[in-house]
Amino acid sequence: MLEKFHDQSTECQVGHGCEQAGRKDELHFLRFRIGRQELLISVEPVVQVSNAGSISAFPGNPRFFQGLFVTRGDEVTAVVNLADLLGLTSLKSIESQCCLVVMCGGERFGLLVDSVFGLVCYASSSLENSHNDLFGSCVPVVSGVVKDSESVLPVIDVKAIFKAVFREEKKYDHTEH
Amino acid sequence: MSDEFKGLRDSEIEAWERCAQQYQFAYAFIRLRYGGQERDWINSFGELALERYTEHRSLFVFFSDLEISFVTKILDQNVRTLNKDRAALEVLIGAWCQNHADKIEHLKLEPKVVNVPVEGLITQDLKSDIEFFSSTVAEDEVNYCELYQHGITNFSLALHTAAAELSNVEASKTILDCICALLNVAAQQGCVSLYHYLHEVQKMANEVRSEDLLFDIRGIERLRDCLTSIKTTVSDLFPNSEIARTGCGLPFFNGTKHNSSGFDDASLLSINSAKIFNSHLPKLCGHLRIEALAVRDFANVFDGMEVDQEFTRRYASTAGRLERYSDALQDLTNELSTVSLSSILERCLSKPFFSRASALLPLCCKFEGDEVRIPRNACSMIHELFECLYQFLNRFPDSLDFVQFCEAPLNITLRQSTSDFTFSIDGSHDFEHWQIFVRIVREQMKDIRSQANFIVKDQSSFGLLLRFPFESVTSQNLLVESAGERLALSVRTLMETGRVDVQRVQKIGSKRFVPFRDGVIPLVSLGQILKFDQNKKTNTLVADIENQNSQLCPQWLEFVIAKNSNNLIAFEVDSVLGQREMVVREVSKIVPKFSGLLGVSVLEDERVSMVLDVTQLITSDELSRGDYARKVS
Repeated sequence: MLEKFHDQSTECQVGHGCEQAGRKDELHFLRFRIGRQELLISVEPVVQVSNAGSISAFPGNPRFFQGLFVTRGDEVTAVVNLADLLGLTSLKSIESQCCLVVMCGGERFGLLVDSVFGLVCYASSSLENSHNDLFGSCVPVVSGVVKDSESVLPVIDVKAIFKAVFREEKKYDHTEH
Repeated sequence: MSDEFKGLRDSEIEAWERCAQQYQFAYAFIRLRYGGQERDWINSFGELALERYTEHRSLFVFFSDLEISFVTKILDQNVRTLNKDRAALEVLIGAWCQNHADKIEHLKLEPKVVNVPVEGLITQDLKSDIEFFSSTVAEDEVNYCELYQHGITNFSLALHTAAAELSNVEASKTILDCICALLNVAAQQGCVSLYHYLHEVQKMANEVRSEDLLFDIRGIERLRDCLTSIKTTVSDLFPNSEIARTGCGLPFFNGTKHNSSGFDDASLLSINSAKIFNSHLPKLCGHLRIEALAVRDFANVFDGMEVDQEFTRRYASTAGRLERYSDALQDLTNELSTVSLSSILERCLSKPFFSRASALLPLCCKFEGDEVRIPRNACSMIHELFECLYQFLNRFPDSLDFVQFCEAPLNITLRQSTSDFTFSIDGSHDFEHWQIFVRIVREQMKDIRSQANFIVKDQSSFGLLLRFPFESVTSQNLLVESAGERLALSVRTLMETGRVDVQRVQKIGSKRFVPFRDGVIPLVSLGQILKFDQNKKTNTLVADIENQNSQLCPQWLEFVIAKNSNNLIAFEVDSVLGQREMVVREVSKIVPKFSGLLGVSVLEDERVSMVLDVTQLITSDELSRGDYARKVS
């Protein structure tokens, strides 16, 4: 699984402004893609990148929730469909997608994305906060954007995803659906 | 303070502080010579060094052999603010370097140089030192502690950070070479240990497969502690008793000298293997994973930099090797996790040691059973109970005869519900004693997420209800496929499975019914109830249908019949895959709750299967509103 991550990270690069910046001013991200949209996620909560493989559907088909799959270490992990959450359209089938396994609030869960490019770092001055209106999503999960010389990359907020998907959906019951 | 360091202290620190600020990486060589009169200076210097280290996380300190104990003391005092692994590495490397002082003699001059060039931070001599160190380790196969191996990786990370921050490519390359050498040391050490563990564990795994070894060493260890205490207590109470005389079977635990206990050499060897497995393997597995991830990260980060491609390839190769070993060990761990307790107990009962200690067995003998197999971790639960017994006896040595208590009719019955496993223990001892016993048991069982409740039946009869978590046991389930998903249905809730010609399915409005014995029962699609994607039919089913009939509609329809109190209902499934014994796990607390979902299980193809209690689906509102269920007369 990690080999794939390694292969896909050939585009790993140092972002603009990073060379001049000191250590404390750097922000490290994973760069990934959903559909035609490229996005960033802070590398800190990411604990594993793996192929999505076979994800077992969860009874009741809860919103934004793709199912369960087994990560390295034999742990059963819940998977969130990030494309649905952001209102984007994925260009890949679920089997060929990647899963970013993240830790948040002491809990481990996965985020389905199309592909992962690798690690990038930017100076903290490149980050602008509050751009939740970027997507048609009903859930505000974008904490800001990073302005590159070529593009503007939204930064996904893992805590917001956790709060939006798991905290609110926790009491979900199929009988209420 | 010795003459050697007089006047150097302030300038030395200032020099390295400047280096640290400028390059965020300082390489300091500090030699301490201390006596009684210099201790204050050493203390303040040690604190300063630690402060620099904590601030920059890159101050590399060499210490002599004599100073290791002193430094260790300082490190212990600062364990909260200091990465202990890395500190241990520095101490060890420092100790080694002191033994090769002639090789690093030149470093004494470096602190005096304020404007150290970037290339000078990592010198060729240091590089050769580390390479020499690496080759020495490889030749001697020195068995360093795991902490040290872990420390090397951590230190490599620090070097890696420094290398990444330097804009000078040549200097970065030199540092990277050093990292490679260090990682080779780590990998070499890891592999030497790993081969040893692999050998032992494979031996144990073979024994597990052949059912020669069926015991959990943690259980043995705990039992030994328990028996040691019991022996002491019983010896005091009954100096001439059988248990006191024979040592309560303890000679068995004390090595091969007491082979007359009934265990042959092979068993002892197996137990030793198990000991290695249980104490080292999981930890090693975790360390390997961490190291593999760290190494993989190195390769990823440096992939885009102007460094030698050979370097990246070496990283990838090391990471791949670590991952493979980690996977292999995980497989063995999984293999061992299916040992059944009933088999263990059977095995134990045949040994003289256990027959001597048979007074303890009433508590666990009823765990044997055809339907329930308890995995290894359940051993600890039983030994918790042993421990409770001991504490109980220890507290009331005068009021209770040990043997009488243990041989008293403690009736244990096993009941399996759909949500957990319950054991009830009935006894007729003194009420107050039982109360205390229950309190002790309850305390003990908190750790294993279980419950113990005291039940008063009448004046002379009391009981203890022990509730173990569902995930701690294996259970029989029927594996079915529905809408492309594999689902496990608890067999206790199912009556039978069947298939029917689709022509015989009767439709009344939107509802469907299948013939069953003398009547009909309602038929609902399991995938539909669970809101699965109905288009995800399996390929096998489609192929089946095409083979059987060229028509578009399937010829046969498979279903399982479930019963809850008086209600019968047929659940349509794509196919019935057969009955399986599964380890059921608790679903993560963050996932949405779904009534009827007992837990999940991981299948052999690493897919997750939901374990369902279909009786809860029958009583769910949706079905009740539709009045699907047929009342059984």
